[in-house]
Amino acid sequence: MTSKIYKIDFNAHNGTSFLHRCSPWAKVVLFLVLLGAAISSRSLGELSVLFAFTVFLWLAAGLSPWDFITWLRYPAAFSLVFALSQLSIPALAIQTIGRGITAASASLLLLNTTSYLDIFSLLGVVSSTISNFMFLTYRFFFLLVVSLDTRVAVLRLRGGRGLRHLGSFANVIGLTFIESIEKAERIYSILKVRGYRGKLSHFSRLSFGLPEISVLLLTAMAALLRLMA
Amino acid sequence: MHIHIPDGVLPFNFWATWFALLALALFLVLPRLHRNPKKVVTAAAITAVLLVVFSVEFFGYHLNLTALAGILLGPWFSLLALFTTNVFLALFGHGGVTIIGLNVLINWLEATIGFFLFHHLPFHHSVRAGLVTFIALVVSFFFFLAVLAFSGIDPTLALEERPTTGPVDLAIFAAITSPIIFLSALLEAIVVSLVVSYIHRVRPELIHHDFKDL
Repeated sequence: MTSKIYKIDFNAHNGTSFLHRCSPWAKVVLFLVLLGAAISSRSLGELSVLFAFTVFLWLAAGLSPWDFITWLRYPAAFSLVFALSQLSIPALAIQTIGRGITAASASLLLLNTTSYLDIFSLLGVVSSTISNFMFLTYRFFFLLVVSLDTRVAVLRLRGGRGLRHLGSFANVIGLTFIESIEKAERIYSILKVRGYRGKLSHFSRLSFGLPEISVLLLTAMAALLRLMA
Repeated sequence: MHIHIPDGVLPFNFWATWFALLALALFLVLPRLHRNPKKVVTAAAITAVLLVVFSVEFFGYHLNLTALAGILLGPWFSLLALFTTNVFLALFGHGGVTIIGLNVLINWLEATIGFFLFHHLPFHHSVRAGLVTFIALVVSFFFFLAVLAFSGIDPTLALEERPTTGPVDLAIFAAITSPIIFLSALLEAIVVSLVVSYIHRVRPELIHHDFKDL
């Protein structure tokens, strides 16, 4: 999952497509419409059209088709568990998988075209505490993931596998917790020097131009596809 | 315990109710957190560790560490931590967006049980940590079964657009899932016990809370 998060972050920050240039609010609207359409769809045809639409947007955003297939493995596997219990009605089983992967592809499309900072700043409209907290968590994640990965790799290279080395794994996790708290104390001191009183400022782009109009038209198209089916 | 139900399986009334309860819990808890900016930063760092640990598989199983989050953060900050963890995981396609409400509240139950039992049971700290983790995970599993029983939701019926209320065969569901849950709870309890033992050796003040700081 770690490499996936790195890749998503890279895609969101380095993409140049019209979806990447568009304001985050328009993409969140698109995501919500696609999610709503996927979970409320009642036929295979409808789901196929919605999924094809998401794939089209993914490719139009210049994102890798291989990543799309790879990242949909998890939602497909989770949906499969439910689909297996519905094998008596094969169409229903396929619909369950279709709903799961279409909804997941909508969220992957949002994450790969919008930086987390922009998504969190939109959440700030609801609660600045939640938005600040998510932003800090995201920063800490990248600071800590490398050290845990390295420690786990070192442990495995030294033969630390299996239940016999459970204690060593637990120590690695404990050390990562302590490291995180020490980093937090240091970062808090730095933030305090800069005037931090529990609120970080970030302004999301709230522009309304050609990219936003195109995304809203695409959103309307997705809604129409759902309504007409 | 993290429930992996993809979007589109659960009926609207079910997941919307849990989202409403989550919104209520956040509405009540968030004003308390705003008063302690230092702990907001610390809690964010601990949440990042939960996500980091979640992304690494140990023995083919990923740890949740929700009870440990409760022990380290207390009941109020752990709600925000678990909400953030579940939102991140759902957006990465690890479980559905619609199940976030129920998942967060189940995880919060584990964290709250973890916190209160850890600070009130009389045993040695590492035994206590393991024991409360096991209890928290088993209680949350029974809570999930109770939710299914009281709601009478059968996802299969919901998909077929038939009435979703009625008896759900919980006996079969429990028989299939309980051995897995008990084994994973046991493994997690051992790991948490060892982690707490390590933290206690290096920074003991981290697990002995000043209750005013919650």
